[in-house]
Amino acid sequence: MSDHDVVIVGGGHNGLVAACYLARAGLDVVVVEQRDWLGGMTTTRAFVPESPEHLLSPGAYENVYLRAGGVARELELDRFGYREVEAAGWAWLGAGGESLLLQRDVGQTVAEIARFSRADADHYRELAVAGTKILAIQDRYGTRDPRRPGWRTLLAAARALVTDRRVRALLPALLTGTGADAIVSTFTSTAVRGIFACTGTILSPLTVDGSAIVMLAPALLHHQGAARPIGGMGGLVAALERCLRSHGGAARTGAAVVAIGGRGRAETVELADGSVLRAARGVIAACPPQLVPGLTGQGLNGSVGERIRRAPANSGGVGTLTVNLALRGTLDLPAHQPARAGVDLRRPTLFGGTLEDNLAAGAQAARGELPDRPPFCLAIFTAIDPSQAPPGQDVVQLYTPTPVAARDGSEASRGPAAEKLLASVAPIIPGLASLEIGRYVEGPADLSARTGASNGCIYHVDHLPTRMGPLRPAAGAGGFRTPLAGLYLGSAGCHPGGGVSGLPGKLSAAALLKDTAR
Amino acid sequence: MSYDVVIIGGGHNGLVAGCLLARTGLKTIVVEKEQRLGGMALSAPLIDAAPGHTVSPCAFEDLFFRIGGVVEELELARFGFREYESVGWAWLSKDGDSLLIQRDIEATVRDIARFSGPDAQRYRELMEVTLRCVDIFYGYLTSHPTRLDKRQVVSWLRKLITDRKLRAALGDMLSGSAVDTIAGTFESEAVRSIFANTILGSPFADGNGFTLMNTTLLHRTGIGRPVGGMGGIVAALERCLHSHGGETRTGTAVEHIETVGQRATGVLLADGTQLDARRAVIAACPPQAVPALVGEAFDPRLADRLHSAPDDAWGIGQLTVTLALGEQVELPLHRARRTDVDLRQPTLMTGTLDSIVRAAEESMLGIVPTELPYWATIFNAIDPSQAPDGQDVIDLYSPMVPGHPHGGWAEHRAAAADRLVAGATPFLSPRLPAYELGRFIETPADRAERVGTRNGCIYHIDFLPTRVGPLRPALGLGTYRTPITALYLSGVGTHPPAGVSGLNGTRTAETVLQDLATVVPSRRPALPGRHVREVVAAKTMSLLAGGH
Repeated sequence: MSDHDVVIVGGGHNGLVAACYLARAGLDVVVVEQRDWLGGMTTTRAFVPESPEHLLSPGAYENVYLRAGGVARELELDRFGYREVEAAGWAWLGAGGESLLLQRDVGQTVAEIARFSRADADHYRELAVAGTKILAIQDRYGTRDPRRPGWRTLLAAARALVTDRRVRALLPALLTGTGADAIVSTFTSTAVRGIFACTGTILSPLTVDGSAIVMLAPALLHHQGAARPIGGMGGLVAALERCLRSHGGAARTGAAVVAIGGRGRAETVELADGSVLRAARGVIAACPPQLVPGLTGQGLNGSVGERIRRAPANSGGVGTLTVNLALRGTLDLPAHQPARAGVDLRRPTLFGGTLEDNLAAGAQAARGELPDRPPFCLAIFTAIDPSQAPPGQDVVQLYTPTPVAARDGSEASRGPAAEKLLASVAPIIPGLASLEIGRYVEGPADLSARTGASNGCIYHVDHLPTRMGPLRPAAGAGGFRTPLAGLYLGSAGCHPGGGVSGLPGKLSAAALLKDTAR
Repeated sequence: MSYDVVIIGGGHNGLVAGCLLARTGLKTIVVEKEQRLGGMALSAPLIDAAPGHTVSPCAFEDLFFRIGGVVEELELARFGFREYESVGWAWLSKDGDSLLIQRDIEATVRDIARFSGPDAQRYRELMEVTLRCVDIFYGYLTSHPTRLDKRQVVSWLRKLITDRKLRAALGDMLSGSAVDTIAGTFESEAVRSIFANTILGSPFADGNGFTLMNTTLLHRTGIGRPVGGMGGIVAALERCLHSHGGETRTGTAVEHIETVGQRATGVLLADGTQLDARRAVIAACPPQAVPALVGEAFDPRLADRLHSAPDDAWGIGQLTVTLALGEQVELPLHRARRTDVDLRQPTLMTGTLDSIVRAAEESMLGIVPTELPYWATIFNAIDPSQAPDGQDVIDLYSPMVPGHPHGGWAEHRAAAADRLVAGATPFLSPRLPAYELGRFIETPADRAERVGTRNGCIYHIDFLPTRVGPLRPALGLGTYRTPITALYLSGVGTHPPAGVSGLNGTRTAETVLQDLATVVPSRRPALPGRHVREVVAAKTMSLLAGGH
């Protein structure tokens, strides 16, 4: 038995962020992680055994809110070696060699869109302006306790809503309509429709009511920009680990949690090896929330426990497939780069596939079929940060929607799904296959096995209008506290949700500190 | 031919709108593409081998028609409308036990207590709070989507502000999934299963949590079974329409809604007939069909919003198999064990929460479920007019089949019906196969063909929090009017999403009359003033911000 103030279940970035805040406040904190390494979905490792110098990031690779949310600054992560570079935007590659680049600057992006359609450019500008105002609301709301929005948050919301007719008109349509409808009724060109569909599909199936909110995705880019940590997302994890240790906190890897126990409150954490950790002040579950009721046994039964256990994860039946490749050379874009002087197309995140491809893929995947023409998202990590591979070589991640429950089973489908994805990329980016040294393929079942995420959902809990704020992950368990005293939730399944922001970790630590200070 | 009003679709809402308009002296015609009026409220002898058995392939119980005010407004009793009281819903366990949800709450609670004491207590508590929810929830459903009665809104707000339990329950049901709320509330298989059988659509989708309110209306207002089947309503409406000088025309589809400028002027029928509409065209058909009927004059943005409006969007549809029997079923395992009720009378269910969840999972993947959950209703056990003496007409309704199974419904239709009947055989009668005279099958594909919905969705558009009130069928089309002058929407794809209620037809007719500046019979309360609306908006905002 070892005694601590707080035990944190899960060594992903949120668990580490929570631990850093608590350790910094003087508490005795230990993070326990089931894998032999920290990071969870923000892991960067040499996943391909035959190329140990290629660092692969099969999960997240860009953060949007880490800076805006204040976590990097407050924890002084630069002191612990954290460095990041500005991401270079998003580019859509057409089958005919055309490309469309969305970058942080709205004016440049609008000019770029005008090359495809004047009307689309006008609509894009309106959307970007209104979208930035809506995100300003989220800036305040997303960084605070979801149940107690302060006066300033409400004021910011009221100001945006009252003063801008366009925002008032847009918001109801975005919160209730489908993404597919919104895209078709706003834009006409294949390229603009394509990039909205490709980026939107990552956030939500486009045929679900409320998915029209994906129209705001590019506004995220204009509003705060996005950054890529040096060394991959694992660079952030390494800095957090150093930060934690410097404040006296500890992290144990290879330590799977089998039970959270106690008498009427969460007091102990039992590991698979039989050892028991005592948590005098509380336990933070920084893992997928659906796992938590099972760990507490009778501690978190009843309706709230049931709701957390069943919180929707990839509930549309569509999950994510990543094919992470170590390459022996530099991946060029011969069909698209020659037409673009002044822009290195290797740097932005690349997208391929039309709106129709995305809708067809979503429909097929939802029914358990491997999509015939999978749309793709491709990031060449080494184009921005060469430190992730040997000189002159690349690491890339390919991403596409895929069935959660593939008809032929996840094991038998992994290989064919990866091949279909590569075949879909080949006509647009020839040469990818010839450069491959090795690959690490991760489908929903694999991601679930590696990180515990229910149905392989990268956000732990779907981003639905019914799972926002105090309703995330479930009614009765919003605001990081649970009905079981001393047990807190602090992962992407909590407010404000998925993505690498560190905010669920930070806010859960704040809730625990507030409760124990009494 | 020239009319004041042409109504597309001879379902019950088209007929209700027709009656209300014809009554004011407008020359009105209802056009139906099928040979018979009724749409999803159709009842008819549809089995050739059994002309004395009445088949109701879709709706068969009346929850809303009796509270929607149409019966009184149109004096339908004068036109032959009668109904029996339903005796409720019963769940049959595999071992011969049964749980009856009946109108009387305390009797229901006593029955539940035989399965679980805590569940009985929770059921009573749930009914206490949902009966209060119903005042608001169904109060809103029976109102115009945007023009609300000031006093009613104030009373709703007062309830919401002062009643914390009510707020919590409403929040939970509107944000949770059906499985969440059912499994989170009840422990016994019997009670869980009763609610699970009433899930429409995905058990896992957020917002479907209001499945927990599905028995409340039974307790509050009871459920009706119209004499002659749901078609009893249709027959009365048809007589009412004709008595007011309205016309009906069946067997001819509408091919095109004619427009001049941005105004609807009439319809063109498939046989080439032109029907002019001097005052209004009402589309009392699935709203998704309207943009194609209008063509280019329909605002493309609104057409796009309608295009993918969710209809059985989770891939789950409903299958019905109606059996005409030469004998009567005995319910051998269950009937003898109850003396308080004849179990042939309630609507029967045998599916469990677990089997329904499995069926939903399979259906969403395009697979016909291995075990098909069903409701079995012996129509003539309550209304003997629906089958010859000593015989039965039984509706088997499965709420969980794929909307589009792999290979298509044509390939699976017969086998799925066999599977459904085989599943029900041990419960109804081991001799069921020998009793059968014939059957009528309606798959989602059949229903799509017959009533014109895209996926055979019985609500035209899914019943979601994002598709009620001014958002139904889609933002910008939520008040029965369309951007085309004199073209109106009606049918269950508009507000309210409430089965056979007649409310959609009523609201549309009121809107037409308002636009024609005619005096509205049975006036709705006046539009609240601007000031009141602002106060209401501010209160709502502060309520939402406070959470629950």
